[in-house]
Amino acid sequence: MTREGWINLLILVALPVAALFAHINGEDYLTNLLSRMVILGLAGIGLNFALGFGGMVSFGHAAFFGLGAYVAGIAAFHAFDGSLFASIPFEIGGTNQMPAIWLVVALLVAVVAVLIGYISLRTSGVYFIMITLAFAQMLYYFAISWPTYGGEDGLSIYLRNEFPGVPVDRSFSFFLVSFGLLLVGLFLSWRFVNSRFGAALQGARMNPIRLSSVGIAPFPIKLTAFVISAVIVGVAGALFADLNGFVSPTTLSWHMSGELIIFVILGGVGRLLGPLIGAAMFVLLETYLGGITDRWQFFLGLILLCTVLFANGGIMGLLAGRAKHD
Amino acid sequence: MIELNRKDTSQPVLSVSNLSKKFGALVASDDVSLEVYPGQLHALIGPNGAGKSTLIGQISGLLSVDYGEISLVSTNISNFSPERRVHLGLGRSFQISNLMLEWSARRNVMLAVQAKQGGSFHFFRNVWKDESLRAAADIALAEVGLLERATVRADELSHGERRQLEFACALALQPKVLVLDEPMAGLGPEGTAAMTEFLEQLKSRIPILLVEHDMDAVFRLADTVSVLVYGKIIASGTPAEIRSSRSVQEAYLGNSDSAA
Repeated sequence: MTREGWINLLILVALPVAALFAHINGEDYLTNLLSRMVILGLAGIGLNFALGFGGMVSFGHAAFFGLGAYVAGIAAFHAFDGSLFASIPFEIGGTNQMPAIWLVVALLVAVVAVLIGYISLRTSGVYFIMITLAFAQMLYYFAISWPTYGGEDGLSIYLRNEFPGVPVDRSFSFFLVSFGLLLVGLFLSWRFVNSRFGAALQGARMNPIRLSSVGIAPFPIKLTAFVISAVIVGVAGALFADLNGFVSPTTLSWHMSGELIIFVILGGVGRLLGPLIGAAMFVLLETYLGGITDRWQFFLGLILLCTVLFANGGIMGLLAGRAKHD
Repeated sequence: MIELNRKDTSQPVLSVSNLSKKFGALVASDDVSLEVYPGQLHALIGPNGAGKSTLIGQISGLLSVDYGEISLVSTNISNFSPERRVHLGLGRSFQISNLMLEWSARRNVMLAVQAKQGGSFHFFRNVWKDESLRAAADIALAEVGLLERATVRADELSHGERRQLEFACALALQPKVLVLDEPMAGLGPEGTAAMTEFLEQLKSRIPILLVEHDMDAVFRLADTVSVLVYGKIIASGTPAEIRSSRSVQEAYLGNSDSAA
């Protein structure tokens, strides 16, 4: 196994062990903190699929994260008071079952990502960044001007959504479900990246003209990767809403898109577990440094600066060296 | 325009007929017609700005065709996407090396084999351990003499080796015809000699349309030479005919020592 492989394994063992200790000691706060790392890490892994492996610097993935969060919130809202989301053309009620919510999130986010990706991927470079940002901001302004679901105040989830057979209202159980989804997300990314599709995708990033000259059109490959990436981020968003018991419109704002990019850059662009490391760092800084000073983001900025300047390949690059191919 | 005799009457693999292309008022291709026959190398020469790159762009599908027709074997490919043309058997090489620089030589060729085999929307099986890809890639690498460098990253290969690698990628696609854009560019005398020898062997198997500035190589390799000046083919014929043609001398070769 490569050094990166060992580091990955270490991280994936350390997280549940830490959560178990927190749980045994009754430190629900710590368990939730670990869940937060895992969920944001999952979102980062989703973005990394597009950004790191496909070279698509999306500054609008908050659209998918927030959409996931809102679906979870809105479903819970209607399940809670028994009202209907829509009655035309047929009746759609709420649900508090996580798997059903995730399925809806995946489908809805996929449709939205096809639309956004189809238009955005016709541009590249800074135009791609701006157009994805514009789409996400459109959704953000839509959300804050929709009073039914809290508008600017956001939407509370009074009772955490349920997962069949697991008491997810308890912190540790919820962590385990989140961690399970993280593993699924990681497994899929890992397989996809090393598949024929992944080869074509990385080719599209490195040299689209070369890819086209062997007879593979880059556009459909990139669009598919964009959608897969969005779906992973969307499911993470749904989990995030359930973790906090609250859906804030800021999950749709450009700050969120920026944070997702920070996870990826901090941890290591195009490294499988990089974003998880990045998200963990971010949460730790936010929590502990944020407890000392309100200006913790200044230090986050410094760290990010050093990472970009001195650690080409992020923290994972620092730990495991340059990515290798045979 | 002088019409020099055409000896071969068999079916052309690639044929361009009456192709025209304008950029605003500039006529980049003016009623261009040429054919590439099985077992032959057709060289296209002409001064800078004659429209050679525009012609290659149209043949490969990166530029649209204003008027005229491009056929591969007997299929009209004028309106096909570049990728579809590749699938139908149009191979090409670039003037500037065009590779996946972060990948090993073998991975570069494996991608070409994958493109040939299909399945770029397969998500689960590990591509880098796929024996069918590796085996086919290694055959192509061996063919261009690059097998012992298979694991070296493309950006660590020499300029000449990158050219070889491009050929390996092109050959892995099993093309019916190759369009080569200045394959000798940037190669030293030894590299040029080796490339000339390689193309000499290759053309009997895969017909070639060659755009090249190295006149020694052109006159040694070509079965037919066409001369493009201001987007128009002013002469087309055997190397000997082209060498002795007066209008070609005046338009292009006249004041060039390399023509001798």
